[in-house]
Amino acid sequence: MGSATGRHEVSPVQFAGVKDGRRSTAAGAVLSSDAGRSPAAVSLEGVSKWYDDVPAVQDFTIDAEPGEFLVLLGPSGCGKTTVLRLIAGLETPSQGVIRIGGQVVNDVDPRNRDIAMVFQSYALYPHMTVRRNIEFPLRSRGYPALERSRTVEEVARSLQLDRLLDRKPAQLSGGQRQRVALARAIVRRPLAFLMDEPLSNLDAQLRVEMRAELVELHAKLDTTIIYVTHDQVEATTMGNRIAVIDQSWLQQVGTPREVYEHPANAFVAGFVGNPPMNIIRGRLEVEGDAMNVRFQDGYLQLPPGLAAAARRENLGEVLLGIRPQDLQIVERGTMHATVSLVEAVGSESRLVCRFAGGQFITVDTDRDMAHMRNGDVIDLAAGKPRSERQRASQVEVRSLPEVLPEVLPEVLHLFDAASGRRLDP
Amino acid sequence: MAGTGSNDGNRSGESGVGDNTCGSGAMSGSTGRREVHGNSGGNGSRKGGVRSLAWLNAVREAGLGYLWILPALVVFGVFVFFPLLKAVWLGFFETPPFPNLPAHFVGLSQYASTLSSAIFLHSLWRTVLFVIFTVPAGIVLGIALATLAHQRLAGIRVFRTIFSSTVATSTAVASVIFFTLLDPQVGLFSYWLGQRGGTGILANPTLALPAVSVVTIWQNIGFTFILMSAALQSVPDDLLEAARIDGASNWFRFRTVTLPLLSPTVFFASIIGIIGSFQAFGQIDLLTQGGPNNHTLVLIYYIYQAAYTDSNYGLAAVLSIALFAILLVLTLVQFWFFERRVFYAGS
Repeated sequence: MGSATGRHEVSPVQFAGVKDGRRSTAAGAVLSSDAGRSPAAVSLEGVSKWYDDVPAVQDFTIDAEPGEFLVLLGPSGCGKTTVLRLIAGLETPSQGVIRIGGQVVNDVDPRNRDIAMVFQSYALYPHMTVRRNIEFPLRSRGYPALERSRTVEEVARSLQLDRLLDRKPAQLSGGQRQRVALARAIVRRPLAFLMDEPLSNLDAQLRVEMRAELVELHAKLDTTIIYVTHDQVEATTMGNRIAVIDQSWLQQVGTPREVYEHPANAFVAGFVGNPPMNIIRGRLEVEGDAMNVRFQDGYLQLPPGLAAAARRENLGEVLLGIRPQDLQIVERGTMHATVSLVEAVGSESRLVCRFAGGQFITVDTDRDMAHMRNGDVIDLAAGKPRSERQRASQVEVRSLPEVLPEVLPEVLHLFDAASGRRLDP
Repeated sequence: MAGTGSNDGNRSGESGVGDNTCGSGAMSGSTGRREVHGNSGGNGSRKGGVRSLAWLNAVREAGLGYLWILPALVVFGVFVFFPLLKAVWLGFFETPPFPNLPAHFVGLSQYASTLSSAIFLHSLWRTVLFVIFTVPAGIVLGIALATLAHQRLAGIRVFRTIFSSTVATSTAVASVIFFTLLDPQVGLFSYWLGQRGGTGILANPTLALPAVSVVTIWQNIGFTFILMSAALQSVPDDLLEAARIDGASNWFRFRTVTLPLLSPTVFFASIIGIIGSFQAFGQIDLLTQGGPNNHTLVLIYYIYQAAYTDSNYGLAAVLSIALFAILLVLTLVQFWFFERRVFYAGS
């Protein structure tokens, strides 16, 4: 189905990409977008999936544009893998429409959807050699042997698997297995790739490398990739766009930057970012012209825009989100916290503190806080440090600024405590 | 012990690889001799004292080991090894035509004459035929039923229970059921197969062995079904899903992914099935008694007839040894296979 032109003519165009000395030819050759195969859009429209009475995916609408690297991000059990399986055709949607390349595929068998999937377990056929594994999609579609072997060799070469072709999966390292799974996916030049946490079984070092390699692969293949992960670092570094999912609902779709800077709700705010954003529960309080968020250990004044929005919505309880690096330690501030743990690394420090209510709050600062001890009480203010110069002088004299840092609107994220919804000025 | 013995041999060029358990193996590396628990004594060694001490230790340890297995050895000796040797010995004697006459030693000639006799070869051939009829069909059916029962359907458990229920059916019960079904007057099968009246299927030289085979297949299907179901469940779902996405049709997927992953179980089931068919006795005794005209005279029934109908113990002993040899070979094949299999899985 779909645009089948060029499916049988994988031409051996040499890929000249050089990444580094060790892995110079990552994913090139056949993978370049020469064969007239344009990437396909994948779209879901109002898709839901229920297992008996349990919702796995609810009213899911999203478009992966042709050639996009779309990441489905969410905690385990949120339904992201189900979305992928729905696209693959391994599950049937309870309602809604799924399109691949503009065609409705709801009733199309997985084998006719012309997509490839990389499983978390890699799902390599243990009884087949690497060669047989990679050529399986070609063999099952009846490609002639000669072409099969040519294509396999080419793909294997581009993923540095050419020396491993006669091994069995059991004789490969995790990274090599991962490559075989990738090779098996790209050998057929499908309309779109689905990847289900493909890096989660690799060790940290290899994961970082493979991340870069996958991004390169995406560029070379010029194809649509839908990538599932629970790792927000992976999501923000690899995706063109991120779709954040929680408890079977799509929470937000946007570029990594949008999701990071304008989280649509408290869940996204707390999920994206490392370390996670501090989310403090508080109560709105009017004080003259100003509007404050009061919590047990102090208060924070809202900037005028947010204050107006809060007033408009007539909210009582709110959640205030502040990223750790947007909290400043000051001589006299409006929030007080007790230091629990100091992680001082050179000139940067991370303080994990507690409010009187028991809630933890993380403060990242680029000052050396090694002198802080467990039990010290600090004052906090929200905002960006004034300037580089001022910061430098602070480090020298180790004195704390008496002036409150300016509270910029983008530093504070205000959410309705009841719904978790974001309030914008 | 065989393994230990072979390690004692001279293996020049292996110095340093030698097992160092007795503390001197590596030092005597220049001789290229491999030391395992000091079994090679002290020959050719400059450190004889150390060696003899190690040797004593090894003997003590081995002695203790044998002590522990002594009870099992005694039981096996009395109930397995002694009867086996006794059977071999019995085979050297020709049983007299009338009881109470002295048996007469003929040595190996009874083995030679029996094993080359037409009736033995006929019986062996009928046994092989019986195996061919029962084992492949049983396995194919077992896989088919297991595949069917592997589907996610409402009420599939009921079918799983039904399919495996023949495990709980004794051979005698199965035989009686089929005896009725095959009865020339009232049997449903006789009716279906157009064999009503007359002497019946079980008395038909062409149909008797297939009929007995059907009973055997039916009787074994539960076990094969359970084996195959377990094996199917051990095939990871994501492999099958990957194959679907990779464009495989159901049949291609079954042939290239499922079946190869079932193959160890298929092999196991074949060996078990072959051994089982070689030993199938109850259904033959209850249905045909080896007849008609010896057409269902499989080896084990031949042994039974020789021993208990004809009281020809010499003949029965020779036949038993022959059957034993055949089963031994099959078992060795099985062992060999599973060793390979373990190696494969562990690699």
